[in-house]
Amino acid sequence: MTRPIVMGLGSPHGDDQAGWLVVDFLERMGYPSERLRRLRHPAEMLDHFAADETYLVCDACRGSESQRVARWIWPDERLRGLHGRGTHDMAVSDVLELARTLQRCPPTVEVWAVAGDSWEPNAPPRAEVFKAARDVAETILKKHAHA
Amino acid sequence: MNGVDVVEVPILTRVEGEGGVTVRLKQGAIDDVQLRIYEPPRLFEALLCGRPLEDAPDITARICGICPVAYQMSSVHAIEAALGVQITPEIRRLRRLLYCGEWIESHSLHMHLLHAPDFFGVSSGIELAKRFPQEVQRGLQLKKHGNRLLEALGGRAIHPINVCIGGFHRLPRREELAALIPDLAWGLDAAIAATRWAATFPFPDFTQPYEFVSLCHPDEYPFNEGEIVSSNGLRIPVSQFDLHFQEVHVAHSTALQAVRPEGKTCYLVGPLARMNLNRDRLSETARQLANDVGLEPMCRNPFRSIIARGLELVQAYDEALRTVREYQPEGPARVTYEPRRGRGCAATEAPRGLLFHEYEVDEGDRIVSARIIPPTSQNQRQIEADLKARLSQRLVDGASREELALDCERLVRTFDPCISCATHFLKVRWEETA
Repeated sequence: MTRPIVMGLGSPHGDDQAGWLVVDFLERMGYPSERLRRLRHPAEMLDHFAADETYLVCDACRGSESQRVARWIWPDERLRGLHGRGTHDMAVSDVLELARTLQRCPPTVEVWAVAGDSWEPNAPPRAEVFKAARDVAETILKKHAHA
Repeated sequence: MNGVDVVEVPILTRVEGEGGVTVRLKQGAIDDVQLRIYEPPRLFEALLCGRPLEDAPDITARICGICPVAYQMSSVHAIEAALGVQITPEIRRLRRLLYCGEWIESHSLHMHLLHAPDFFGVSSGIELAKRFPQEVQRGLQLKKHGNRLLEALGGRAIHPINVCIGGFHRLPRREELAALIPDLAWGLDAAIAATRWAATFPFPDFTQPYEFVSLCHPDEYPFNEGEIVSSNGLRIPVSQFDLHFQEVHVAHSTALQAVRPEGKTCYLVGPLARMNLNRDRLSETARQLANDVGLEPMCRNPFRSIIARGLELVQAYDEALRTVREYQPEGPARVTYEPRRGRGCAATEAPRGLLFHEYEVDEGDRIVSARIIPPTSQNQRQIEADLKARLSQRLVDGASREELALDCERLVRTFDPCISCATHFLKVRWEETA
């Protein structure tokens, strides 16, 4: 069984780099680079979906210090309620729903989110987010070590 | 009971930005419709004052994620007018190519994911994809082509960074653009198919006595240059914009509206206006398609604007393909200029319509004043007029409140409004006096 494709969503702005950090850590830990994607916008996921692959999506989210990392198996009602705010952006859940409708992704997708609260342009992520992203990468690697 | 009946309808979806509609009924008839835009002013004009003029294309691009090129183009042309800069034909061609990318991206998204669902009674592009998976896939593919063209020429798909006063920071290499040819060739055929598909939609029977306004150029479908013309016979240089168009403030909107000063009448900008005023400037492929799909010579049905968007999509692919095939990098990437005090204005055709910019610059290369009049802002008064007419028609038909609320949303979406650009839709509120 091949390892899942890990898609890290992010931007260079503060804690929003969390998804990219997970992908960076996985690459350094030896996860096959051809199974890693660094993306800026959820809609870009549509370019990478194929029905016969499995996917992990890693993104930053707003959250609390008490729960730094969250994991959902999509479809999940909590994710479905999160829609993009305008015509120009699609939320992760919207893109997953569209991809499933178009039969371009498997029926379930694992979604990891690292909570952040600092989004300053071009600022580095905070140490807590850096550590949480590494924890997520280690968990993913351990779970899929023998794939 | 105070005699006022208020009905709340959820936020309008599939438009950009936030605002609302208040519908007032009197004795069972539509008395007044207000497009309430309550998104805070974004103050971009004030932000530009005192900044180096070279910052204008990059700052104004930030006004919108889907039409940043329009803001870049209007700003650089206006500042170049202030500085007396004449760009080369090659730079001019590449600027039109960049605009093609933006029209492809914006029009394909609006046609397939935002507007088409309204004709099939579904609430989203995701729902539409269950019924028309191939068509939605096609729309996504076309949008991607637009993004790739923007990346190749503008440096990135959203908020491109390669535009500067006098030209571009860097000309693309021939092979960078040539790599796009297969996509553009496929996309031209797909855009034709998309337009034929859109022309079969069940359009409501509704027309309005619009005054259409757009740029018009003697030799080409308008993007960056031309006179301002209207279906009422107006033909003026862009520098006379203020004599014939006036911004007005209304209490229910944080975005200025625009009217014609003489009768305070509204007017329409956007694809339908451009198509009606420039149909003979379409490429042969697009012009033939317009005839084939039966688009009337002066279409006044706003719901059929989706056909105009389709034809402009074909136009953009046709021109982009031709430009890319012929492209050979030559000449300077940018024309140099000497600092000087001056004032200049320009209008270009954003996907949603005429976008006017005016700047005053000083001898130290600083912006002294800036003024930006976006297309959605200009269309606001027309949207209110259309809503009033359409809802009155539907009331006579016996439509329920729920149906009327849906009609509001559907009609507003035909304008593809960008409320964030205009600062910015949408809850519908009903107020009924006995």
